[in-house]
Formats: sequence, C-alpha cells, structure tokens
Amino acid sequence: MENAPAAAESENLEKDEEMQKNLFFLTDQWRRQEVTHRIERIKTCTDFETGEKIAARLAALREMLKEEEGPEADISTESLRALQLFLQAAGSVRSPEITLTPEAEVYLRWKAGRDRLFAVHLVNGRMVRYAIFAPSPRHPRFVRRLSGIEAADTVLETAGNVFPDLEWLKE
Amino acid sequence: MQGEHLPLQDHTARYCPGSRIAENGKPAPAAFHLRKGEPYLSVEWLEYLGQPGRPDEIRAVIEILSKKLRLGASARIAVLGVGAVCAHVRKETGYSIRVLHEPEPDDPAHSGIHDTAADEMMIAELIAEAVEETHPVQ
Repeated sequence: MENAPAAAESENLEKDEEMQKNLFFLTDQWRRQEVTHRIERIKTCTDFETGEKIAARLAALREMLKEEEGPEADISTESLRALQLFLQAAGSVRSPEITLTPEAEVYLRWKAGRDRLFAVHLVNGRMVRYAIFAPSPRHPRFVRRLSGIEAADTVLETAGNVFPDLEWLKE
Repeated sequence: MQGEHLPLQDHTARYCPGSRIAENGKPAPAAFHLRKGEPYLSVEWLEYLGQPGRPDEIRAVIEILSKKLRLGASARIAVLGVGAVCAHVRKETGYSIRVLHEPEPDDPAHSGIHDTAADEMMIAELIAEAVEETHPVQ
C-alpha cells in the first residue's frame, strides 16, 4: 500500500512522456505538411513556368537537406512565407539561383556579369536581408555594394532605387 | 598553434553541403554563412595535412569530415587561397577577414575564417567569388 503513490506517479510520468511523444510527432507531421503546402503555393505566386521551376528546385533542396541533416530537417516555413510575399510583389521575374542557408532559409540570387547582383535571404515572414552589387553610374569599373534589411514585399523597390532598370531580373 | 594566422600562400578547404551548391555546381554564397552561434567558418588547412598533392589533400579532408558529418552525395569541397580570399574581401569592401588555426584533438588541421559576420551577406558573396576549385565528396 505504501508504494501506491509512487506507482501512480510513475504511471503519470509514463503518460506524460507518451503524450509528449505524440505531440512531437503531430507537430513534426504538421510542419512537414505546412512545408509541402507552401512549396505548392509558390507555383501560383508567379508565372507558370517560373513557379514550377522554383517549386521543383525547393523540393530538390528539401531532399538534399534531409539527406545531409536527417529526416527531421526541413525548410523554414517562415522563410517560405516570405518567398511567397516576395514573388507576389515581384510579379514576373526570371527564375533565380536558389539555395538554402545553414538555418534552412531560402536564398535567392540573380547575377549578371561581375558587377550586377541582387541577392535576397528570406529570413522570416516579414524580414529579408539583401545584397546588391551594381555598376557605378559615374565611375567606370567601380562596383557599388549595398546590403541591408527590408520587408519581403518591398525589397525589390529598394533594388529599383539602385538599378536604373530591373529588366535584367526579368529577361 | 591555436589562433595562429595561416600563411597567405596556403589554402583551405570548406565543406559545402548540396543544399548550398548552385545548380551550376558552384558553391553558393550561403555555403559561407555562419550557423546560429558559430564563431567562425570551419575549414581545413590543406598544407598542414602534409600530403604530396591536391588530390591527396582532398582525400584526407574527406576522411576527416566523414567522421564528423553526414556527407551528402551532391556536396562539394571548395578550395580557397588564404591570401587571395582575404585580399579580395579587403579590396572590394574594406573589411578584413582572418584565417586562423583552430586545431581540434581529432582534427589538427582545423581552422577558421573569422570576422565574416560584420556584413555576412556581402562578405559571403565575395568569398564565393574567390573559390579557386571545387571537388566532389563522393
């Protein structure tokens, strides 16, 4: 009889552990579904061809991430949300180079020659980091280099302030 | 020796996972971003390995890395010249980065590229430009 409280406590602990395992499993399942869903949504955020290309690339990167960091690793859902916002605001752009950062956040990059670059690191739903390399309008061979923090849906406007035209992102 | 500057004429190798390799096979700038809490970019000091040539150095690096990491099929090893990468970043931005020896008990050639966090995106872009060669890991 004296052991009854201890046995009950041990049973409760087991139940708690079981519940935590189930919760972890469900959270993980939810996160995976969320990533799949967000990658699918990307297809509708820009023109058909670019959307398909970007979604296929993200799916391939997701596989590589899992191969290298384990099955529980996945692309940041917040970063995918920012990508969606960015693409909706950007309209029709040519397909960028896409990779992932060490935190599994999406990194977009458009480059033309050695002096023209627009790179966007989609950090979370609101914030992006960017780097811009652009030829100096006054000094030939001098490359202007800017970096900073912006909102996902306005970073292209910032790039527009630096580049006289953004056609090279679209061609 | 811990904290010693690597000679400018020497080379380092950085492991670049497949998710940080562009579709053209080149390491993307994201391969030179720090993980949260990482103090520097981990590299291996190639000349320290004492191998007769680059293929042997790369084989030795892969052997070291395979004990620490799960090496992906599409991952690559990027080779950077110490002096070349420091000079490129300095010339284009004015930032000074340092490549220091950071030996570990099971990895005496381990080293680090320091001071990239000051303007990480810009510096990582320039480090990626300075990559001299890449090698597959498998």
